[in-house]
Amino acid sequence: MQTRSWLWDSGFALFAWGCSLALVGVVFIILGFLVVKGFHTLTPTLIVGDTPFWEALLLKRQVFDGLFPAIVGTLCLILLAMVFALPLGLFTGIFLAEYASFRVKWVFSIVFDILAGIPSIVVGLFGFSVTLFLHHYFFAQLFPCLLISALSLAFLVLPYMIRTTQMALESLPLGVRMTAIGLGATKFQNIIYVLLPASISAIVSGIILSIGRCAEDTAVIMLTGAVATAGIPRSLFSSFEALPFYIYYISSQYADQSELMKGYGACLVLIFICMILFVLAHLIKTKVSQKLMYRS
Amino acid sequence: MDVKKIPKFIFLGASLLSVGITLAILGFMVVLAYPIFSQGMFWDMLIQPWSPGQGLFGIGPMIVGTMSIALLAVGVSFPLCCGVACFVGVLHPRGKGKMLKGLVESMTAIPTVIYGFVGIFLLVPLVRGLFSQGSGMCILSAGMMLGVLISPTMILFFSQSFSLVPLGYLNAADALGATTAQKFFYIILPCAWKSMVSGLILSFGRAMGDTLIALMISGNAVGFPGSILDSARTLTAHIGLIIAADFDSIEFKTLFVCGICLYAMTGIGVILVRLLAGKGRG
Amino acid sequence: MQMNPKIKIKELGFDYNGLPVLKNISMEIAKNAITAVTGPSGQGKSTLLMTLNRLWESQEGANITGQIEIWFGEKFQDIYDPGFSVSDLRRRVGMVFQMPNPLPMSIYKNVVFPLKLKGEDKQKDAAFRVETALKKAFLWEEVKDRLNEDARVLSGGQQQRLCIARALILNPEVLLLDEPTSSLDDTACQMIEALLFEVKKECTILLVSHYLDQVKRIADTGMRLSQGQMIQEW
Repeated sequence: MQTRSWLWDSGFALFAWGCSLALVGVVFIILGFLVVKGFHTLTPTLIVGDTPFWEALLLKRQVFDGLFPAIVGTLCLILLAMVFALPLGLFTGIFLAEYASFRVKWVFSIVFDILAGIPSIVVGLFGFSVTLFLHHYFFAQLFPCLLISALSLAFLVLPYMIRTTQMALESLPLGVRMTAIGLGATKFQNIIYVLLPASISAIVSGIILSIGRCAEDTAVIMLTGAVATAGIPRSLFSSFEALPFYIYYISSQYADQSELMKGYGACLVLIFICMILFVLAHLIKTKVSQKLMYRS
Repeated sequence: MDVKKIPKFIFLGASLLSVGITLAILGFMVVLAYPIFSQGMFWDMLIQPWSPGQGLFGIGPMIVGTMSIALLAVGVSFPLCCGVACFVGVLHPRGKGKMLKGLVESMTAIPTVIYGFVGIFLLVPLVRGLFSQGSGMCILSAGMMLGVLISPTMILFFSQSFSLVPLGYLNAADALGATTAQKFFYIILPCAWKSMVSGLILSFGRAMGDTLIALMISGNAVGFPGSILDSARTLTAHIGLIIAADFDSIEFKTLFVCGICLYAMTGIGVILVRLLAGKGRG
Repeated sequence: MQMNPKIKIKELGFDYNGLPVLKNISMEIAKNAITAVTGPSGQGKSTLLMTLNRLWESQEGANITGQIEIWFGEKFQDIYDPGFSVSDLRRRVGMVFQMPNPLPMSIYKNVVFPLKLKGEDKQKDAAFRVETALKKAFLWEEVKDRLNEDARVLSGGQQQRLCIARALILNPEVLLLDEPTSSLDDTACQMIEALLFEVKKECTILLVSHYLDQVKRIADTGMRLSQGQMIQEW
């Protein structure tokens, strides 16, 4: 009996160790591969091509050979998408946490789970077909563009915003939630003056995660306005470049080795951006739990 | 009195808009696929092959492609994730496990296009060399890379399921002399399995819905795949490829059928997970 | 000094994250008797119990010094010896917690669980051993007709007696009880005290208790733990 359980125990530990080492190995191979291949491209030339650095940054001269337009495009996308998703998601989350009855909450949360599960390409397809539909029947000048992409991305990250807001508000302790009400505040005053400020860190962390989602998505923007070369987006209704799309495009359309190398560099830049956002969100979340610990 | 109700209506309005968007996405696709429904071609389309030359616009091969790549991904990823979740949640909840958990959490930040890129330039040549048959762009490559993509979420889900087992049970098991493996198989697993199945279903949905990896690595051939070394096309990649076709053509309409299939598949997954959770409450 | 000590504790020290919890405790615990440990809250009583079945080892930052020897078989054995199996120790030193913690299974399966861990649950005498253990815990009559019901439907007192039965089924030589009746009502409490009186005939019992009247009722020896140090009372 003693040896039998020892065998199981060792087998169990061995399996867990083996899987963990395999996973770590795979991650290091993937990242290491990119670093090894692309590290030497990490120079200002990667970003701004032949154009002088500051002139490109201040938009005085166009950049033809660098990632700068793609980075700007991604930033514009993130900004626009959050302009749409933030209020909509915030308000919906507030409604679910504070105003909805149990049954309504249950039904709505199933709907939003479904929204969260919709594949991103389907959201892109929706954006594209709405555009085409509007183009056909109403606005002949409307084509897939920055605005459409941003709206579609907003639909993509909407469920994250809703869920984060709802959970942030619902996890506030009863004391915090009821104090202002007990002093005569209306529900709305309670939300604005007490609940939102108390849960701001959790919500901000959710915002940052949504931003990360916007930065990395390719499928949606592929169908709604991202192209390989468009420069800095001129208006809301123009096509644009984006970093993840650039990577996808380069992987199949690279003309020579130097272009491929730029692809590796772009991968590293994108990973860098996503990691910064992740670490930021993590730090804010940890600050929350520390604050809660000190409070109790 | 009325002024007080305004905030509620604003918030309610926002929620209704959000719900409306979710339903509109489905509705739009159903409406645009209407010609296919009206000609009674919908169900046939799901099993027919794709052969425009012969007037066949079936998405059967794409459904097979999606399912096989997703199944392979989950099949590869599931045992791996169990192992890592055991390491992080059961064997070394502090110290080493915490570090590994941090690594897994940061993996969730890696975009799928990166996996696709590395897949093309690292994995595909490897598979091509190993199996000296085909180009390396096949179900196997796509499935493996997809498995890596869905692993972090599955691991975090599983280890959270393990941590929800009540401490009293674990103390009882410890005091009675259970070894770690016994504790896992007799106490933790029976408590956590329902939650783990939910995680599995959600990861499967995620695998079915991914576009870039399939688009970049699976080869995108239109025939029914015969083996895992065959090139295949998924519903998601199909949408990405055919989007350039003429809006009024039948080919374009098939995209909405694809969309409806994907929507339905992930929607069923969500409902299954809810049912599982609901039973647990009793 | 005891005539027939079962457990010898020598200069036991325990600290948690640098903070000392137990300081230089030396004592002997008598065989087949009830030894009670009393004292103010949070001053190491539960920790003392946990040093005897090494349950503290799953916590981080804990450190132990000194030596604990228990008489197993024909000699005293150092339970912290690397060669001494922890699982084996915990089968011979049973523990009952303050809050009853039945496992999410039927009453029968709860009591048979330790046998299952040893691989002996499918043997012919398993049912008999379950019945014996439940009788020792004064619970048999109340549950004999519903052994397959989920253990969690039992009342608090019944659950605690179930946990005692579960701890007794392997015939441990030592039984550790951490304030076993503090979450129970008077009647349940009396029942448990009565059964402990019987159990001590075959088992050395170490009982942590808040209730001085309980201690005076059933304990053979009483010790007081204050600020991590032992004072013998009677």
